[in-house]
Amino acid sequence: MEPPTLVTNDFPYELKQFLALHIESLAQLETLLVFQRDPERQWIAHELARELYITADMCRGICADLVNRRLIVPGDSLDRYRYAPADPSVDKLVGQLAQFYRERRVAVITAIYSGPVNKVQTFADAFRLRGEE
Amino acid sequence: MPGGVFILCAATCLLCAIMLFRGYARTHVRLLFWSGLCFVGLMVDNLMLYADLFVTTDVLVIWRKLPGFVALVLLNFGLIWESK
Amino acid sequence: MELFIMGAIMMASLTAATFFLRFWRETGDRLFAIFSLAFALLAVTRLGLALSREHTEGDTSWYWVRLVAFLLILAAIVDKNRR
Repeated sequence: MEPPTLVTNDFPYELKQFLALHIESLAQLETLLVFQRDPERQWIAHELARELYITADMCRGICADLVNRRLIVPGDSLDRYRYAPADPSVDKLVGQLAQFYRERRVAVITAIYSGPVNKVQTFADAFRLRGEE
Repeated sequence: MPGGVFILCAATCLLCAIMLFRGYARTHVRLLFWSGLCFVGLMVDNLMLYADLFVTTDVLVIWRKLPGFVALVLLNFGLIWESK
Repeated sequence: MELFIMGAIMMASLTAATFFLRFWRETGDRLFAIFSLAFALLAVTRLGLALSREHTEGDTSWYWVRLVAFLLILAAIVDKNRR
Protein backbone atom coordinates (compact mmCIF):
# COMPACT_ATOMS: atom_id res chain seq x y z
CA MET A 1 0.00 0.00 0.00
CA GLU A 2 1.44 3.34 -0.96
CA PRO A 3 1.74 6.09 1.65
CA PRO A 4 -1.24 8.45 1.81
CA THR A 5 -1.04 11.62 -0.24
CA LEU A 6 -2.95 13.72 2.23
CA VAL A 7 0.14 15.65 3.22
CA THR A 8 0.33 17.55 -0.05
CA ASN A 9 -2.17 19.46 -2.12
CA ASP A 10 -0.99 17.94 -5.34
CA PHE A 11 -3.36 16.24 -7.70
CA PRO A 12 -0.95 14.15 -9.75
CA TYR A 13 -0.94 15.14 -13.38
CA GLU A 14 -1.01 11.55 -14.60
CA LEU A 15 -4.20 10.90 -12.68
CA LYS A 16 -5.82 14.07 -13.89
CA GLN A 17 -4.99 13.14 -17.43
CA PHE A 18 -6.20 9.58 -17.02
CA LEU A 19 -9.52 10.93 -15.83
CA ALA A 20 -9.70 13.41 -18.67
CA LEU A 21 -8.96 10.74 -21.25
CA HIS A 22 -10.85 7.70 -19.96
CA ILE A 23 -13.43 8.57 -17.35
CA GLU A 24 -16.62 10.28 -18.44
CA SER A 25 -18.73 9.91 -15.36
CA LEU A 26 -18.59 9.08 -11.70
CA ALA A 27 -20.49 5.85 -12.38
CA GLN A 28 -17.80 4.85 -14.84
CA LEU A 29 -15.07 5.47 -12.31
CA GLU A 30 -16.88 3.54 -9.60
CA THR A 31 -17.40 0.67 -12.05
CA LEU A 32 -13.74 0.56 -12.99
CA LEU A 33 -12.72 0.60 -9.35
CA VAL A 34 -15.01 -2.31 -8.53
CA PHE A 35 -13.24 -4.28 -11.24
CA GLN A 36 -9.85 -3.20 -10.01
CA ARG A 37 -10.58 -4.18 -6.42
CA ASP A 38 -11.03 -7.81 -7.41
CA PRO A 39 -8.94 -8.48 -10.52
CA GLU A 40 -9.64 -12.21 -10.73
CA ARG A 41 -13.37 -11.93 -10.45
CA GLN A 42 -15.73 -12.00 -13.39
CA TRP A 43 -18.70 -9.79 -12.90
CA ILE A 44 -22.07 -10.21 -14.53
CA ALA A 45 -23.41 -6.87 -15.71
CA HIS A 46 -26.68 -6.92 -13.80
CA GLU A 47 -24.95 -8.06 -10.62
CA LEU A 48 -22.52 -5.22 -10.94
CA ALA A 49 -25.38 -2.81 -11.58
CA ARG A 50 -26.96 -3.85 -8.28
CA GLU A 51 -23.67 -3.30 -6.50
CA LEU A 52 -23.38 0.19 -7.90
CA TYR A 53 -27.03 1.18 -7.64
CA ILE A 54 -27.35 1.86 -11.35
CA THR A 55 -29.55 0.28 -13.99
CA ALA A 56 -28.38 -2.84 -15.79
CA ASP A 57 -28.51 -1.06 -19.14
CA MET A 58 -26.36 1.75 -17.88
CA CYS A 59 -23.95 -0.79 -16.49
CA ARG A 60 -23.71 -2.63 -19.80
CA GLY A 61 -23.08 0.63 -21.59
CA ILE A 62 -20.30 1.51 -19.21
CA CYS A 63 -18.76 -1.94 -19.47
CA ALA A 64 -18.81 -1.79 -23.27
CA ASP A 65 -17.05 1.54 -23.12
CA LEU A 66 -14.46 0.22 -20.68
CA VAL A 67 -13.81 -2.69 -23.01
CA ASN A 68 -13.20 -0.23 -25.84
CA ARG A 69 -10.76 1.60 -23.67
CA ARG A 70 -8.97 -1.68 -22.97
CA LEU A 71 -9.47 -1.49 -19.25
CA ILE A 72 -11.63 -4.59 -18.92
CA VAL A 73 -12.27 -7.58 -21.17
CA PRO A 74 -15.34 -9.69 -21.79
CA GLY A 75 -15.46 -12.88 -19.74
CA ASP A 76 -16.34 -16.47 -20.45
CA SER A 77 -19.95 -15.85 -21.26
CA LEU A 78 -22.26 -13.10 -22.35
CA ASP A 79 -22.50 -10.11 -20.06
CA ARG A 80 -19.50 -11.11 -18.02
CA TYR A 81 -16.47 -8.90 -17.64
CA ARG A 82 -13.10 -9.01 -15.98
CA TYR A 83 -10.48 -6.43 -15.03
CA ALA A 84 -7.70 -6.49 -17.65
CA PRO A 85 -5.84 -3.24 -18.28
CA ALA A 86 -3.91 -2.96 -21.53
CA ASP A 87 -0.56 -2.88 -19.78
CA PRO A 88 1.00 -2.81 -16.28
CA SER A 89 1.51 0.95 -16.28
CA VAL A 90 -2.23 1.45 -16.75
CA ASP A 91 -2.87 -0.98 -13.93
CA LYS A 92 -0.53 0.97 -11.69
CA LEU A 93 -2.27 4.20 -12.59
CA VAL A 94 -5.70 2.78 -11.78
CA GLY A 95 -4.34 1.55 -8.48
CA GLN A 96 -3.04 5.01 -7.69
CA LEU A 97 -6.35 6.46 -8.72
CA ALA A 98 -8.20 4.07 -6.43
CA GLN A 99 -6.03 5.13 -3.52
CA PHE A 100 -6.35 8.78 -4.37
CA TYR A 101 -10.10 8.48 -4.67
CA ARG A 102 -10.26 7.01 -1.19
CA GLU A 103 -8.49 10.03 0.23
CA ARG A 104 -9.65 12.87 -2.00
CA ARG A 105 -13.08 11.87 -3.17
CA VAL A 106 -14.37 15.36 -3.88
CA ALA A 107 -11.24 16.40 -5.77
CA VAL A 108 -11.54 13.38 -8.04
CA ILE A 109 -15.23 13.94 -8.71
CA THR A 110 -14.56 17.58 -9.51
CA ALA A 111 -11.78 16.56 -11.88
CA ILE A 112 -14.04 14.12 -13.73
CA TYR A 113 -16.55 16.81 -14.52
CA SER A 114 -14.18 19.69 -15.10
CA GLY A 115 -13.35 18.75 -18.68
CA PRO A 116 -10.18 17.93 -20.58
CA VAL A 117 -6.71 18.89 -19.52
CA ASN A 118 -5.99 22.41 -20.62
CA LYS A 119 -3.03 22.29 -22.99
CA VAL A 120 -2.29 25.95 -22.71
CA GLN A 121 -2.14 25.82 -18.94
CA THR A 122 0.08 22.75 -19.27
CA PHE A 123 2.57 24.86 -21.23
CA ALA A 124 2.70 27.42 -18.45
CA ASP A 125 2.89 24.73 -15.78
CA ALA A 126 5.90 23.18 -17.49
CA PHE A 127 7.95 26.13 -16.27
CA ARG A 128 7.41 25.32 -12.63
CA LEU A 129 10.60 23.91 -11.21
CA ARG A 130 8.82 22.19 -8.42
CA GLY A 131 6.82 19.80 -10.56
CA GLU A 132 3.09 19.18 -10.61
CA GLU A 133 0.72 21.85 -9.42
CA MET B 1 30.11 42.15 -24.59
CA PRO B 2 28.21 40.57 -27.45
CA GLY B 3 29.67 37.11 -27.11
CA GLY B 4 28.50 36.71 -23.55
CA VAL B 5 25.06 37.96 -24.56
CA PHE B 6 24.55 35.14 -27.02
CA ILE B 7 25.76 32.54 -24.56
CA LEU B 8 23.29 33.80 -21.98
CA CYS B 9 20.51 33.72 -24.56
CA ALA B 10 21.49 30.20 -25.55
CA ALA B 11 21.48 29.11 -21.91
CA THR B 12 17.98 30.53 -21.44
CA CYS B 13 16.81 28.62 -24.49
CA LEU B 14 18.33 25.45 -23.16
CA LEU B 15 16.57 25.92 -19.84
CA CYS B 16 13.24 26.45 -21.59
CA ALA B 17 13.77 23.41 -23.78
CA ILE B 18 14.59 21.21 -20.80
CA MET B 19 11.55 22.36 -18.87
CA LEU B 20 9.27 21.87 -21.84
CA PHE B 21 10.59 18.41 -22.66
CA ARG B 22 10.31 17.43 -19.03
CA GLY B 23 6.73 18.67 -19.05
CA TYR B 24 6.06 16.75 -22.24
CA ALA B 25 7.42 13.56 -20.73
CA ARG B 26 5.05 13.99 -17.84
CA THR B 27 1.89 15.13 -19.57
CA HIS B 28 2.19 14.05 -23.23
CA VAL B 29 0.77 17.37 -24.35
CA ARG B 30 2.26 17.74 -27.82
CA LEU B 31 2.36 21.51 -27.74
CA LEU B 32 5.19 21.21 -25.26
CA PHE B 33 7.11 18.95 -27.60
CA TRP B 34 7.02 21.38 -30.51
CA SER B 35 7.81 24.30 -28.23
CA GLY B 36 10.75 22.40 -26.78
CA LEU B 37 12.11 21.82 -30.26
CA CYS B 38 11.68 25.50 -30.99
CA PHE B 39 13.83 26.46 -28.05
CA VAL B 40 16.48 23.96 -29.08
CA GLY B 41 16.54 25.64 -32.48
CA LEU B 42 16.71 29.07 -30.89
CA MET B 43 19.59 27.87 -28.74
CA VAL B 44 21.46 26.74 -31.86
CA ASP B 45 20.62 30.07 -33.46
CA ASN B 46 22.19 31.91 -30.53
CA LEU B 47 25.24 29.67 -30.51
CA MET B 48 25.74 30.32 -34.19
CA LEU B 49 25.67 34.04 -33.60
CA TYR B 50 28.32 33.54 -30.95
CA ALA B 51 30.39 31.45 -33.34
CA ASP B 52 30.02 34.17 -35.94
CA LEU B 53 31.96 36.55 -33.75
CA PHE B 54 34.90 34.29 -33.11
CA VAL B 55 34.98 32.05 -36.11
CA THR B 56 34.82 33.77 -39.43
CA THR B 57 32.96 31.29 -41.47
CA ASP B 58 32.14 31.28 -45.11
CA VAL B 59 28.89 29.58 -44.40
CA LEU B 60 26.11 31.12 -46.40
CA VAL B 61 23.99 33.43 -44.32
CA ILE B 62 20.94 31.44 -45.31
CA TRP B 63 22.25 28.31 -43.62
CA ARG B 64 23.11 30.31 -40.54
CA LYS B 65 19.58 31.55 -40.31
CA LEU B 66 18.08 28.11 -40.86
CA PRO B 67 17.98 26.84 -37.23
CA GLY B 68 16.14 29.94 -36.06
CA PHE B 69 13.80 29.75 -39.01
CA VAL B 70 13.01 26.08 -38.50
CA ALA B 71 12.60 26.64 -34.76
CA LEU B 72 9.93 29.27 -35.25
CA VAL B 73 8.17 27.30 -37.96
CA LEU B 74 7.94 24.35 -35.57
CA LEU B 75 6.63 26.57 -32.81
CA ASN B 76 4.00 28.03 -35.08
CA PHE B 77 3.04 24.58 -36.24
CA GLY B 78 2.63 23.45 -32.66
CA LEU B 79 0.66 26.53 -31.67
CA ILE B 80 -1.70 26.37 -34.61
CA TRP B 81 -2.17 22.62 -34.66
CA GLU B 82 -2.39 21.95 -30.97
CA SER B 83 -4.29 24.83 -29.48
CA LYS B 84 -8.00 24.38 -29.29
CA MET C 1 16.79 35.45 -50.27
CA GLU C 2 18.25 36.53 -46.99
CA LEU C 3 15.67 39.22 -46.53
CA PHE C 4 12.98 36.73 -47.34
CA ILE C 5 14.07 34.39 -44.56
CA MET C 6 14.41 37.24 -42.14
CA GLY C 7 10.94 38.41 -43.05
CA ALA C 8 9.63 34.90 -42.54
CA ILE C 9 11.30 34.66 -39.14
CA MET C 10 9.86 38.01 -38.18
CA MET C 11 6.35 36.94 -39.18
CA ALA C 12 6.69 33.66 -37.33
CA SER C 13 7.85 35.50 -34.21
CA LEU C 14 4.92 37.86 -34.46
CA THR C 15 2.48 35.00 -34.90
CA ALA C 16 3.90 33.29 -31.85
CA ALA C 17 3.64 36.56 -29.91
CA THR C 18 0.00 36.82 -30.93
CA PHE C 19 -0.73 33.28 -29.78
CA PHE C 20 0.89 33.99 -26.45
CA LEU C 21 -1.22 37.13 -26.17
CA ARG C 22 -4.32 35.06 -26.72
CA PHE C 23 -3.19 32.52 -24.15
CA TRP C 24 -2.69 35.33 -21.68
CA ARG C 25 -6.24 36.42 -22.27
CA GLU C 26 -7.53 32.86 -21.94
CA THR C 27 -5.70 31.87 -18.78
CA GLY C 28 -4.69 35.13 -17.15
CA ASP C 29 -1.26 33.68 -16.59
CA ARG C 30 1.34 36.43 -16.59
CA LEU C 31 3.91 34.11 -18.14
CA PHE C 32 2.14 34.35 -21.48
CA ALA C 33 2.09 38.14 -21.44
CA ILE C 34 5.84 38.16 -20.90
CA PHE C 35 6.48 35.52 -23.57
CA SER C 36 4.36 37.51 -25.97
CA LEU C 37 6.43 40.61 -25.35
CA ALA C 38 9.66 38.62 -25.69
CA PHE C 39 8.71 37.16 -29.07
CA ALA C 40 7.48 40.54 -30.23
CA LEU C 41 10.90 41.95 -29.39
CA LEU C 42 12.56 39.17 -31.35
CA ALA C 43 10.38 40.13 -34.29
CA VAL C 44 11.39 43.75 -33.87
CA THR C 45 15.04 42.66 -33.92
CA ARG C 46 14.62 41.06 -37.33
CA LEU C 47 12.82 44.09 -38.65
CA GLY C 48 15.51 46.39 -37.35
CA LEU C 49 18.25 44.29 -38.85
CA ALA C 50 16.53 44.11 -42.20
CA LEU C 51 16.10 47.86 -42.25
CA SER C 52 19.63 48.60 -41.18
CA ARG C 53 21.12 46.49 -43.94
CA GLU C 54 23.14 44.55 -41.43
CA HIS C 55 22.20 40.92 -41.34
CA THR C 56 23.90 39.58 -38.30
CA GLU C 57 23.24 40.89 -34.84
CA GLY C 58 26.85 40.48 -33.89
CA ASP C 59 27.64 43.48 -36.03
CA THR C 60 25.08 45.81 -34.59
CA SER C 61 23.53 46.90 -31.36
CA TRP C 62 20.38 44.93 -32.01
CA TYR C 63 21.75 42.16 -29.88
CA TRP C 64 20.77 44.17 -26.83
CA VAL C 65 17.15 43.87 -27.84
CA ARG C 66 17.63 40.14 -28.25
CA LEU C 67 19.14 40.01 -24.77
CA VAL C 68 16.18 41.86 -23.32
CA ALA C 69 13.83 39.39 -25.02
CA PHE C 70 15.54 36.41 -23.42
CA LEU C 71 15.91 38.13 -20.08
CA LEU C 72 12.17 38.62 -20.17
CA ILE C 73 11.71 34.91 -20.72
CA LEU C 74 14.00 34.21 -17.78
CA ALA C 75 12.04 36.68 -15.70
CA ALA C 76 8.82 34.90 -16.63
CA ILE C 77 10.23 31.60 -15.40
CA VAL C 78 11.46 33.11 -12.16
CA ASP C 79 8.13 34.85 -11.68
CA LYS C 80 6.30 31.57 -12.25
CA ASN C 81 8.22 29.94 -9.48
CA ARG C 82 7.93 32.75 -7.02
CA ARG C 83 4.18 32.43 -6.68
